[in-house]
Amino acid sequence: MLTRRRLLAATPLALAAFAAPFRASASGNPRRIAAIDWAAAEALVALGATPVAVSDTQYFRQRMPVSLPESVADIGPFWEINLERLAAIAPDAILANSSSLTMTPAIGEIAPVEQVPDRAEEGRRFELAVAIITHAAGVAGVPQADVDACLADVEARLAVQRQRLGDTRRPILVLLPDQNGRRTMVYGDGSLPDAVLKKLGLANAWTGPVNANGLAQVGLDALMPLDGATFVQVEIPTLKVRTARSLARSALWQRLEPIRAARSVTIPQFHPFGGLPSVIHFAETLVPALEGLPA
Amino acid sequence: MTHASTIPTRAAFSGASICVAALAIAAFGLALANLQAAAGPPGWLQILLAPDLADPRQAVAYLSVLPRVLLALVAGLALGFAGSVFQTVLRNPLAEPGLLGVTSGAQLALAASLLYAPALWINGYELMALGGGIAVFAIVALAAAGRGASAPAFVLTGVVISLYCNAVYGLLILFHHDFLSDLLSWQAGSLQQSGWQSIARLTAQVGTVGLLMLLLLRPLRLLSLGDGPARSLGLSPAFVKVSLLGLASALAAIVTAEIGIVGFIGLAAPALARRLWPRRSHNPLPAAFVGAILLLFIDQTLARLAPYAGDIPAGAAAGLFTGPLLALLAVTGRQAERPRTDRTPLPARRLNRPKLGLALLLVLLLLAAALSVLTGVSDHGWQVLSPADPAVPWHWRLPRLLGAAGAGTCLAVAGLLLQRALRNPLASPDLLGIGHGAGLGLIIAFMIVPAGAVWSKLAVSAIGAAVVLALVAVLARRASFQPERTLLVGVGLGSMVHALLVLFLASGGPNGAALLSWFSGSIGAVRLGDAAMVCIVALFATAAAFVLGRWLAALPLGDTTVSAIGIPVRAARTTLFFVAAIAVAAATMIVGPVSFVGLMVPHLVAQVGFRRERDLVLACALVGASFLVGADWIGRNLAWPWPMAPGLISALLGGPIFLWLIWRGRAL
Repeated sequence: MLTRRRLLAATPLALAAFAAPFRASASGNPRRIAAIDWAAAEALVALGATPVAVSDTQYFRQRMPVSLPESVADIGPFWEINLERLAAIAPDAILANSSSLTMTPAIGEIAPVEQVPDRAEEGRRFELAVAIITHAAGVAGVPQADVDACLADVEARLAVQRQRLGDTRRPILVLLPDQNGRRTMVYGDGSLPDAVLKKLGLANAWTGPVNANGLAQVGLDALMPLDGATFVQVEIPTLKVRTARSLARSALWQRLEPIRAARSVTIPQFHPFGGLPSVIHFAETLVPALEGLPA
Repeated sequence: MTHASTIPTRAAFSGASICVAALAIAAFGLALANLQAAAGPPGWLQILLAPDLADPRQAVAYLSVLPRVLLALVAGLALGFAGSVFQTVLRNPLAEPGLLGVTSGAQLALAASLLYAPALWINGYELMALGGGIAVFAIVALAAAGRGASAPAFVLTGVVISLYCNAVYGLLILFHHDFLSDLLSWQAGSLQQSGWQSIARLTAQVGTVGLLMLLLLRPLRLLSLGDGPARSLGLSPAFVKVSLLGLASALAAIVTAEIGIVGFIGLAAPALARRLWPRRSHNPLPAAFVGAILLLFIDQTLARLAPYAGDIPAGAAAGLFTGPLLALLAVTGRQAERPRTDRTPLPARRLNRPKLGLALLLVLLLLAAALSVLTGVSDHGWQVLSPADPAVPWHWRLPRLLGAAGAGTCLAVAGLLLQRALRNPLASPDLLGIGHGAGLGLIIAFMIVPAGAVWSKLAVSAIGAAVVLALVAVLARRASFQPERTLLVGVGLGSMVHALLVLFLASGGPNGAALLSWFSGSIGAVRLGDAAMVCIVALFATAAAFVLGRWLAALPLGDTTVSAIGIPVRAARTTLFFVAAIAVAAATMIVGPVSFVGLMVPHLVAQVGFRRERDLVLACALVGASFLVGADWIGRNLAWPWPMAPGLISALLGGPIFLWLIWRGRAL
């Protein structure tokens, strides 16, 4: 069905394909990107190449460490993109991960879809964050020099945090207890917190099995052997009071060695599936929280 | 009666008893082994008698392992008991407390209070869950009691309210996926313990309610004779039913509040107990015993796996164990057709001019279609276009329109066929497990697809649906397509897939929301080719149902009567089953599992007053199509640019309409 709309959609595409090499060099006129994947969106904002459309902007603003201008259009949640609106925006390219493509393959009719890297090879989560920003920059026509500058900035800020840590060298357990005080989510190998811990030269206290995202749900009894670790509890604002109360009443929690030794701190929530901005955000939240703990 | 006795042969009886005895030994053996492993050298006896809590290993054994064992026993006991009472009172092997909306009420109360009144949570969310479950039961009981508390009235109002609660819950979650992980982990129902509070509270509550229920065991036995005989023996069936169901719901709500949703124990335990002790099928105590053993076995097996796989919630995983069990029960052994003492009577209302009614429904469908294509929200606010306007986004809207209309028709007609062929007002397309199979395809695609590869949602869900369809067909054939057994096969397979879904959701990944949205029915991704395909299937299914109208009318009369009037029962049922299955599979690929349309539209149409089977088929097709087209239009525009799943919208709209019709009708 060759319709007016298809023709319209195809025209900017053809033009974009034509103009891409010029645009990449002319930094004043970057390509218009719709970022369905949040890690890619976050990376583009950090590079100063703000996407024209992002999935679920409202929640993005609440949750992500970068600020999104009001002008960015909301195209619905990543699992069901508003196709009519996306077609009206007519971006030059779409950054999405494989699950969005599985749910709404039709986004490919609107603009070429570039798949954001989403698997960490053998737990190399930091390298995944770098791959995400490099890939997004390539699609958006941002020069590699900008990516390198961003990377250097992140490394420098990580170095500052490493400095701040001093000789704190206890293994760290990053955990998100549920509101019953019975189970907890722990972040292990391959997760974003784990990548940050490695970068900071800290050991992750959780070495047990994890799922593909580097997470594991375990009972509190699984934390019993972790003597000598420091607990970093992630707090969800709405559940804070309830969780604290359940944990205070939980007999097993009170018997954990780090809790008895008061080596437990809380940090606000972070985005565990993000890229470089999320990495540095987590590092800069974690290290100040660790200060002032008993050695 | 063409069927043999309800009593299995002696050999089968002893075989099953041996199985349960083995299960019991295995369950307690695992529990002891786990306790021993946790306790270390002092041994399990020390933990029971004098635990030394300063020793970390003994602390874990005493504070986590031991209460967990007891919790599984008490919760399993309560669920098996409640499930058995439900099945006896409602005379439906698919009945369980979840059916009357108790669990979905609890779930909704939790989610809503968490979002809008978090202060209520400070005193424990158990209260919220309990309150929600009981409130929902009260509504169901009020609605059904007005209709003489007949079993079908109870079951249907329960299901409608349950679907309604689920729809609201689905919307809340999809719009606030911040809270997702916590609620999803609650929904998965873990038995993990970290102290004695939980088991103490549960035992006290279950004990109190259980004692009250023991007093009602005799009336329950009388009730199993049917409403008429019970009444003539001086019993008020409505009063006894409401009290029994109320107490059983309270049991289920207590368990749900304490540990989350534990699926299918309430369904499988009574089914297994009935097989073991057929003569005591009206006594809930054997089912309670089986429930306790079953849950303990499942949970201790999972505890055994925890060092390798993390904490797997027993509530969800129970489906993995009980699903095959249900299917096995259905295909093995003989089960007699149960005499139906209170068949759904025809609604009193009757349309005088059904042809006019059908014409009006057609106009309704056309109106909905015009609305859907020509109006909508865009960047410039509401837009109303004329059909000739070149700005009409046909490219995006036509596939949705056709897809919704085709899928709605398929689901509604399939629902009608299944309810007649399987002779159960609850037989919905969901129960065949096809929707779940399609969902399983999607889960697998999310979990194991290598990075970079993209599988289309349509392809993976088609493969999943086809596999489950083939499996159900093979198993149902072994069960000679007998209604109750076919349904159990479907429910069994469905429960397995559901378990996988909940486990996947609870494992915490970014794709959880996507799956949840697919399971609530969404239509945004449909393309023109797929939409045309489902429309063709819809026309075929409607035509087939129309032609087979005579069978449809006859089958609910019972196998004996049907064969007596010269209809080949088995062939008829097989044919209807396959027409329905193909229609459901096609619809599920387009919109996902939309329970409401398939389950409720046939009842809705009958309540409106369509009587002749062929009118019913056409009315179902038209109403089903209009429903989904309208729901898609509303869902697309209400929260623009956000989508609201048409599956949820149809439940939100249809639920109240249906309740109103039941209320207004004279009898059900």
